[in-house]
Amino acid sequence: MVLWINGFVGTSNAFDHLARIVASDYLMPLVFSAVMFAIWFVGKDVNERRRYQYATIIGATAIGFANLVVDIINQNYDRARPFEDLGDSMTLIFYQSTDPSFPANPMAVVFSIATGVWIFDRRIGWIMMALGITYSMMRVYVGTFYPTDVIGGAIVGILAALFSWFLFELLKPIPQIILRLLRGIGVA
Amino acid sequence: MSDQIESAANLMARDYLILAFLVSLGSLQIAVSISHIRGLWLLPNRTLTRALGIAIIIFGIALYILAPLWIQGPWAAGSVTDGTSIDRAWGTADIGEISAARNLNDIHGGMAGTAYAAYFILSAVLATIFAAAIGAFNVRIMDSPSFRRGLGGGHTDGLDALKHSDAISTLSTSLRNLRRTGIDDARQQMRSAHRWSIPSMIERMWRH
Repeated sequence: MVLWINGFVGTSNAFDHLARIVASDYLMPLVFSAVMFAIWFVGKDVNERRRYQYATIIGATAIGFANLVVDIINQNYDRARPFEDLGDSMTLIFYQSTDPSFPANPMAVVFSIATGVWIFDRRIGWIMMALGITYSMMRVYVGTFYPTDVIGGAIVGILAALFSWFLFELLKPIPQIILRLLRGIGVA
Repeated sequence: MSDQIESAANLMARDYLILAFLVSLGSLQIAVSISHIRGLWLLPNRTLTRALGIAIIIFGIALYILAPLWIQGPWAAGSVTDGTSIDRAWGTADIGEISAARNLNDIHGGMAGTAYAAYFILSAVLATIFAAAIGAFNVRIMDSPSFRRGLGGGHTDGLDALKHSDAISTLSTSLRNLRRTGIDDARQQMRSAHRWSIPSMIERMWRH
């Protein structure tokens, strides 16, 4: 599968340039973080805005849980990157990552945010999921992950967000009280 | 080699901070224009504020990607053709290698995931402060006094108050409201919590 997807490298020079930018460490995680930050301010009234602020809180908490899970898996299972396993049979057009391949940490992060938003706003959530899938495919295309790595990362991210939501519900009304305090200093 | 990695790390961190600040500011402008939070607008007009937000994001990303063409860094022309970050030379990039120039492993001077997160949080805070400062200028200097009519009975606070006034004026009202109603609000939230919420269970156990 990874050889088939990576086999398209070199077909279009313009697409390869685009893939390098989309698959980069800086762009997509920043876009997801910016959406998570911006929706904090969205909402016609206090109640609607509070829903979006819950999405930001759950997304941010989920990133922490997802990173923890990825770290635990990485310490117990060190899967080699596809360019290490497959060598010359594939074309790497990205830097040689040195951390374990499974699960894909960037996917865990972006799917944590996307799921956190999806819980409260399906429309924006689906758009972010689609962007997350695009990001995942680009990471496989440039040769830095196996498809199972990105699927694993996405599952970790989604489960982390659902767990954060569960925890959020369990800890109510503490999140509401924190938001009330933040409203008191003018930022919520 | 380690000096070059350190220089690359500093350069990447500085550039990313600028990128994250511009993207945060742009996305904030789009969000506050949607929700009519005028106290955080960079321009006095809603449509212009949203257009400015989009322009700032595009400018920030374009600047970050294209800057290696004129800024010297670990992306000298000819050393990044394969997209990897090993054996990079110091210099300016070639347009054909621009997509790979910023793709640096953290052991070669790139940034680690935690650094990206920390810089983003810092940028988001700075973008909010910047928007609040410019918004206050817009409200106080550029807008008519009717806009600054104040906060009515004092029920409007937090971000909602910024629909009618600026961040500096609303802070005292928000704090006053918090002191006046904060405890009651917390009690009410506690009463309306699920039966299986942990704080609610602890409270029930405490009472019995």
